[in-house]
Amino acid sequence: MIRCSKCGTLNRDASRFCNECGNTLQRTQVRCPMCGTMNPVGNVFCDRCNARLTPLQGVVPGEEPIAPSEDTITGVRGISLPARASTDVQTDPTKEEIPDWLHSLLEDSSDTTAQPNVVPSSPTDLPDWLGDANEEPAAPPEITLAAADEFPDWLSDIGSEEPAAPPKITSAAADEFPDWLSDMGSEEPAAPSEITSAAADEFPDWLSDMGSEEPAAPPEIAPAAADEFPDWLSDMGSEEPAAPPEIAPAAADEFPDWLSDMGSEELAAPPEITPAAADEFPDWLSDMGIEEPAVPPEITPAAADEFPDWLSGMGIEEPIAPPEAAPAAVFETSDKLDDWLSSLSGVTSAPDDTVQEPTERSSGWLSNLDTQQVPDLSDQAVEQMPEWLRDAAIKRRGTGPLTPPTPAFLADEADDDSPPPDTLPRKSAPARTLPKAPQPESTSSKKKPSVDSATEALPAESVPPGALPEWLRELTPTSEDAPVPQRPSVPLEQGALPSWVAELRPSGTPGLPEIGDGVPPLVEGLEPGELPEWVQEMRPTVAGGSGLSLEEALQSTIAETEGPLVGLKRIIPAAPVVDIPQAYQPRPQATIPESVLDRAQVWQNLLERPRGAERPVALPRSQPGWSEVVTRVFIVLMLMATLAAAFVFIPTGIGSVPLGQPPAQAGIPPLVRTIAALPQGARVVVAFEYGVAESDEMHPLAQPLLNHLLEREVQLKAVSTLPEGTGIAYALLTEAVAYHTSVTDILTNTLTTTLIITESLSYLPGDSSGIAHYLTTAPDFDLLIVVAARPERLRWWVEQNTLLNTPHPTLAVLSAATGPFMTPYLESQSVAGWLVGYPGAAAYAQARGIAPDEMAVRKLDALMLSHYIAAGLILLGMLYSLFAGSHKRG
Amino acid sequence: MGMEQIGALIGVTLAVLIFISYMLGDNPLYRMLLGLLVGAATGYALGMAVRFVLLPWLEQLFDADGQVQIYNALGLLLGALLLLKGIPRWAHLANIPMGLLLGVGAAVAVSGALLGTLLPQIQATGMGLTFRNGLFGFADGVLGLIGTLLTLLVFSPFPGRAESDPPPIFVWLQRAGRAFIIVALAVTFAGALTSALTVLIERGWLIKEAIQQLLVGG
Repeated sequence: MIRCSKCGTLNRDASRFCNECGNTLQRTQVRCPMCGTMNPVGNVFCDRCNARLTPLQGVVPGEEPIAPSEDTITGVRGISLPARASTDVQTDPTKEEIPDWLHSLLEDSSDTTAQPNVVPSSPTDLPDWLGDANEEPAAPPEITLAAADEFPDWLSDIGSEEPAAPPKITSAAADEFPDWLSDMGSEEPAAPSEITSAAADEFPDWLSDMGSEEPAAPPEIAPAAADEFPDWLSDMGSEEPAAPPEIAPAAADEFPDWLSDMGSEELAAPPEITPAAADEFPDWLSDMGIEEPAVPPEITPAAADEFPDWLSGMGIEEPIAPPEAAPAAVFETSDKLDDWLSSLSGVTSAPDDTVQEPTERSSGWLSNLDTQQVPDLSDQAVEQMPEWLRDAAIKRRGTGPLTPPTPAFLADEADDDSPPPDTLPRKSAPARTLPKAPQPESTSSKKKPSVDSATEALPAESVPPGALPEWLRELTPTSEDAPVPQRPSVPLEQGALPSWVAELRPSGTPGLPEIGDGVPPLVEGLEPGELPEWVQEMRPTVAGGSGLSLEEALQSTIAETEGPLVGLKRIIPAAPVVDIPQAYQPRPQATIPESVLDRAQVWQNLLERPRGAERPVALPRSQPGWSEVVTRVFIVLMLMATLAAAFVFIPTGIGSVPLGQPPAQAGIPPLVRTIAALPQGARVVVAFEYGVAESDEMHPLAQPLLNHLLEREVQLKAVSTLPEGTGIAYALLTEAVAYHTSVTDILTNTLTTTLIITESLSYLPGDSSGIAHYLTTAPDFDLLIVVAARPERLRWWVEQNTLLNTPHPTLAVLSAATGPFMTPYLESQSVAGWLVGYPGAAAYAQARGIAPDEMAVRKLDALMLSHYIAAGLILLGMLYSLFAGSHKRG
Repeated sequence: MGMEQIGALIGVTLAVLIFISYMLGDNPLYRMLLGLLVGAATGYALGMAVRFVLLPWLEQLFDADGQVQIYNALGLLLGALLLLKGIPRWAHLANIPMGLLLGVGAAVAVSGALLGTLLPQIQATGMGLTFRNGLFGFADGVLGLIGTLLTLLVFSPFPGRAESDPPPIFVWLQRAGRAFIIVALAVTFAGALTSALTVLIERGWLIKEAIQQLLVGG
């Protein structure tokens, strides 16, 4: 916890301000934005997750270093365009707004009373290579050795000691750029290098002062020497914002269009580069001839090597946002010239974002390259020039005033005839109004150099004659009498809306609320924009919060007194909640069936149930309802009555004869014949394939068969694929042995009988595989009898017997449920004989000529009666379902 | 009362209880009886497996000279591997005997079904279309053939048409096939009903005999 030093309130460790009084707290810990761990204030990286706690941005001079905070987003900084110069031309520039070398220029500039106004150019009109330079306060780029010969030493030394913000110019491209541009490639804003005393004679005073640490007033340019220097240099010492210089029509032709357009209010297309002059200039200058100024030329990979990074970065597509307009200043262009250039030209930015009507073809500071400002080329003046300018001055001496030749790429594009090389560009593009651009919040006066200080930094007389690079010299007009076009101080005029904006205006749509009386408009003549139709539809009908209707709110003449809409009338108060548009119609909900909802609910419950939850409770046993119990009781009573009648109540006499004859079965006679044909001592294998549950039904069927076999005195072998089958076989054989006296005569010893029976038993595991193994390995036998209560048991025996093509016949004793499934085998002669169910056993006995006993008769009677009862109940239920079901459905 | 009478009495009691549970529904006594039945059957089966399978294999593992019989030992080893099915870590080893069992069983079953069931029944169906057994035999054969084809048609899609758009004749044929299936299922139900009634009658007879003995003979 952190205690506030002001009010003493305890605050959390990560708090920056006191919760009670708002006082800034001395933080002792910093919360990591990634993992939330508290780290000491001095940590750069988190102790736990190694996330960066401090932002990567550099410290701005004059500001406190940004401490790591919870909301700090490290590593990424947005790219922001520089704001326009401050409206207050009296404000002194700060060092963090402009590079040091320019800043010194501004401070050393003298009064610019005699300096003509320089038309500031908006950053958007500037070539890209100049526009990009405005984004960051950059020091002069470094000058490589290859380019050193081309530029004066005083320019070469600028920024050479320390890297500046703009990227460095590679050696390959160094030849193409002047030194002062090359210096702009240095990474860090650097203070201008001090000019040694030995070289001080070569440099003008204003440049000499660049090495001084304290800002000095820019040296004044003597009137006599004023003509020697171009306007852009002269205006650097001017204090007051000057009107943009007017370029005479005669001189206007001498300037390239891009220079002319720099003073115009609309975006002018860069002048085309004639093929003849294209070779003279690097590509980056040649690109200025493209017609679309808004889209800088893309730097191809092949050409990328020619350009430094700061030029490559000019490929941004977003146009430079027009800066804020200053109400006091009046310019040709409102958003054409960056602050540092504006300060150099001694002109402040225009307050209006709309592009003004171009008055003259003038590009601001470049338009000052008037022939009248050309210095004298006398011998004395030439001797004072730096070495790098002497040759040029001598060269020009015979041609009159030194006029910088106009490069071909800056040739006038408006005229059909190619302009003279030493003329300023001519304005070509018509004026148009720019849409209102978003004003960057970073636009502040502190970053923009003041015009006064900029103009004062570089007085005209401080600029040594010939202190211009050759290409700039060529831009100067030849005619000495060509006046510099003066920019009249005219207020900003409202431009016409572009057609595409006008088309958006719906017919009959009311306009925006008018500006309230008494409050000066931000921009004179600014017409309120029209809302598009789709926005109009979203207008609320009721002005929430104020109690007024929409019409009343629109007709209200009360102006807003606070907030961003101060001074405006007819403002619809914001509703406390978002109103639903009038035309809104809720979409009808789709009808979802209940079954789908139930299923979804089940899935949802399953998903929501956490892992490891309690095991689901077993469902309660379903208990029959009273109706079902009654039905079951009725059926049970019926069956019990049937049995009782058959077992008890039928007279004995009648019970000796079955009530109904058993149905004749075609397999019984062959069965009898096959067993009767067995010789004495024949080996018979009997497979007992039924369990305990079927024993009640199968015992009455198997027992007469075993008695018959024992009467034939055969050798029995009992096998079973079921474990309990051997036990059942043992019980049957024991009964059969006890029943048949001949076996008893031979095996009088019970134990012996048991052994014999036990040895006669075999358990065959593996179902059909066990049967196949037994049939393959067992010794030959004469007859196979299968006693089965399940269809698959008989099928295994029949299939394997058929597959192995055994010579012995197969007989089957089947239950009533198995009989229908065995009909195909019976029809295909796979089984020699068979009997099915209790009626079959009765028929078998009858076929052997054995009279059925009373027990058999009564069982047969009970079976027949129960069949009738069951059939009656089934018919009754069918009738009930037919009538009752139709009644329910009806 | 001898053991046979006691056993008979217990059996009768259990039978009556199970019979009553049909009316009363599920009850603890019924579940106890079911458990008793399943337990007794399982125990008996285990005893039979040990007596008639495991012990003979162990007895035949070593011959008279004390040499290990590889054939018998291999069988015991595979059986032991099958026991590892209950251990998740070693369950994969039980796949060896399982694969052997399934493979051999499938081979035996498939060959038996093909040669022991399918071919003989096809032959029988064809033989039924002759007048060997007279006119009724021939009609019986034709009826069997038609029923077989219609039953197969019920479970077969009509070629060249979507299942939702069969031709009208196909729909009627499928209805006829369903009729044959219904008759076959009815016959199967009748046989199962007869078996159940037979079991009931036998059990009822036993109960009667037991009661009669208790009341008369003691």
